[in-house]
Amino acid sequence: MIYRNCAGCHRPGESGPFPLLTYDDVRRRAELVQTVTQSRYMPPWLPEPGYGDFEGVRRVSGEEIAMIEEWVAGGAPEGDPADLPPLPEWTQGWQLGEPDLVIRMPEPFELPSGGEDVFRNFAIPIPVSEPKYVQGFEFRPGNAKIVHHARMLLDRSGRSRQRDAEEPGPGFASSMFMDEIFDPSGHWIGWTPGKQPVLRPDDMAWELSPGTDLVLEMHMLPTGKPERIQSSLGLYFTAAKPSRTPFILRLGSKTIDIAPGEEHYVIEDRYVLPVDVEVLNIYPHAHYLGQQMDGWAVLPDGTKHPLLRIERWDFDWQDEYRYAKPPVLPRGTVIEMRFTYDNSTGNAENPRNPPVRVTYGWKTAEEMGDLWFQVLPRDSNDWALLSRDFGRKERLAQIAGYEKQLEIHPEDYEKHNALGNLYLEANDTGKAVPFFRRALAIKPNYPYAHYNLGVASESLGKADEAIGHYRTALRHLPDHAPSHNNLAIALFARGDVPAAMRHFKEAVAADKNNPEAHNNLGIVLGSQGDLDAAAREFRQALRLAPEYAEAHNNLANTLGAMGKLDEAIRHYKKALEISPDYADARRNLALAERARQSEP
Amino acid sequence: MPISGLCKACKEPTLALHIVLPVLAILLMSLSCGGSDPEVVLLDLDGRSVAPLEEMDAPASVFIFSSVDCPVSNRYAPEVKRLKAEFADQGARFWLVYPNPAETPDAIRQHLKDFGYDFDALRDPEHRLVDLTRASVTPEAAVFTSDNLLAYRGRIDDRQVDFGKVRPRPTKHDLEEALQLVLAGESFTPRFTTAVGCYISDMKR
Repeated sequence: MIYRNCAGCHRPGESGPFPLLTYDDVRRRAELVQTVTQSRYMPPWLPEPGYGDFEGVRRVSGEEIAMIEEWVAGGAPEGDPADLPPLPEWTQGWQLGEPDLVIRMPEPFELPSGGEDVFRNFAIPIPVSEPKYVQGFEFRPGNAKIVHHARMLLDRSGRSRQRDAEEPGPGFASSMFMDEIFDPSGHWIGWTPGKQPVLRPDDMAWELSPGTDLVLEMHMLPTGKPERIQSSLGLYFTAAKPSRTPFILRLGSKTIDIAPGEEHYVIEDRYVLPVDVEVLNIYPHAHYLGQQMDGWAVLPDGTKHPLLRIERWDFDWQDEYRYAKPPVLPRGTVIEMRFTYDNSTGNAENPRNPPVRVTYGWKTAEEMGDLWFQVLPRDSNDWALLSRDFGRKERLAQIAGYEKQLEIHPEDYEKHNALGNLYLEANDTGKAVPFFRRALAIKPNYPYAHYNLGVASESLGKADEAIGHYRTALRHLPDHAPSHNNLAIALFARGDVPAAMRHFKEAVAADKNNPEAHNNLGIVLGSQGDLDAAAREFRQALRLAPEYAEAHNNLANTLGAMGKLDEAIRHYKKALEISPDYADARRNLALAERARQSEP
Repeated sequence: MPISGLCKACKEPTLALHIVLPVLAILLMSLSCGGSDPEVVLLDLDGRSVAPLEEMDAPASVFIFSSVDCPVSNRYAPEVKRLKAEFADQGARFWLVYPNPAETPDAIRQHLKDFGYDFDALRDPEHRLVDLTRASVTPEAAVFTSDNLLAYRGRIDDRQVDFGKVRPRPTKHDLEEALQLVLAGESFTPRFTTAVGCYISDMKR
């Protein structure tokens, strides 16, 4: 029982603080083993049985606990050593074999000996020069004893690198904004002690684009002496392009507001599924005030199907849970959640004593309430429908969240800007503009608000104003690739080709892994007759994004102009393969084939 | 008023003591001792016998029960060092006591080095001091007065509430308060609290 449930972590080099490999190891800690199994602190596993059937359950049964109790009461006897089963053989190093790519923290972080838990993010570039399909990952903490849990997100904005550079030492403590970082499409990357890495089906990989940084968020526990940590993430690629993409649904609240002393604060949320899905994974999240968590589905015929229950949430052991047999939920099913919170002194883990008002936020002294579901729709049409439908719900939730945040922090210019951005995404430019202006009233040179005002001005048909805003953004943030790109497009549209060319080149220099930047530069170069240079840019765009239909079409146009008709035809066909409704490519292909036939 | 007349080897300090009047408490404790007074002999890391309670001339002696691989006691290392730095100047004498028989002198020396402990360390494989103080886990503290009276036994502070349940910061600094009282030489009753940590192995009770 100890080998099966404990020894995986309680052995040298792993996260358990002491080994449990021999009779004597266990005998010496017999009472401790009894106490922590009885209280179910060990092995760490939060979901209640009977509410979802999960893989990798780390839970000892009631009979096993009773057996331990009896053994301890009997003086922890050894029995016949000859009956001892052989020690399990553990794979050394990477459990899934040598990864295709290992990403490592560039330098070790020094964790102080004492004080409170440390939450820190590390920005780590992912060196891939072409898109990769990730089938699995394995996190090696490097110093397993200090990592309580780790979560990894992706960043294409460069903001995490910037924050990492701004703060002294490796990593940074400030929180990222949710529009800066994202989970890989339809997946999560996380680690808790004892979690076994798995390869997902190879048709369900996620795409990793060049120019993406990994943001490693770690919760670390000081051990009493200074510690060093340098973690690695191994990635396993597959050549297969994914044919199934899961979708992440979120239920919860972004308007949490808990009065000091409140012992039983409740959040609830629900969503009606517009398509049939299978639920692959569930991932609950709250901070230190979270107590009981429930997730369930009400099927169209009215039956209630439990998806998860956690009776005593423990932030320190947060994890995702994968269903052994994914529940199938038909269209029209209502998925629901309910979490409770305790913001009184009765909650020993309350970060504030005496308690204070606690509102929504990513910091651990703030609160969150999310229940994420990784679901698999039937096909890409259903995926798109779900994405649109859920996107509306999620945007409303985010808008409500930022509005609440701005009531509490009216001077937070980043939040004004983020709220404006959400209205912009909802195509409500009229509502968006005042938020950008308010952000600028608080922080006049804030480049991101200038950039967003540029985007808003363009959508209102005010090109001159847009150009002015992009230029202002670039004065304060000279490497801001999106501002260069949009400014170049606006300048090109009004015929200022040299200035457009300059800014497209700047956009490429600032974000050299952005396929669109290369594509745009190619278009301007081609318009000036520099066909070789244009083709080079389109080819680079396609190296970064092989499925970029417009770049195939543009490259084909350029090749055609160079007289390379066969190659041009190949790229038109590729563009149409990716995007069958691409009318320009179809017309161009017909022209090229006619020209090919008339060739001598 | 300094307390006197209490035997140091009081086996059964009852938890009710601190709610009765001090004089009565002293009387009760004296009675409960029954006169037996086994010498408390521990081992230093070279295997020599040490009787720390006989040697004591400090106004306060603090014993911290420790273990080389208990994550709870290890995490208290900075706090234990802080208390020593603060109270050693006022005459308090600090010892680390390793009660788990399996922890060898070499492992303990390495532990002292790893955690930067500038402390005198003793082994208590026979659980002499464990039995006397009725300590049960690591980390746990015991404070004796210059008259060899047990003034406090229990947790260092209330940060560790249960296994896996840790306050971000302690709200009650029990050991520190006990030390302040003992060093002030004020009238007090012995205090006992429940410590949370790793059970001392091979307990004989």
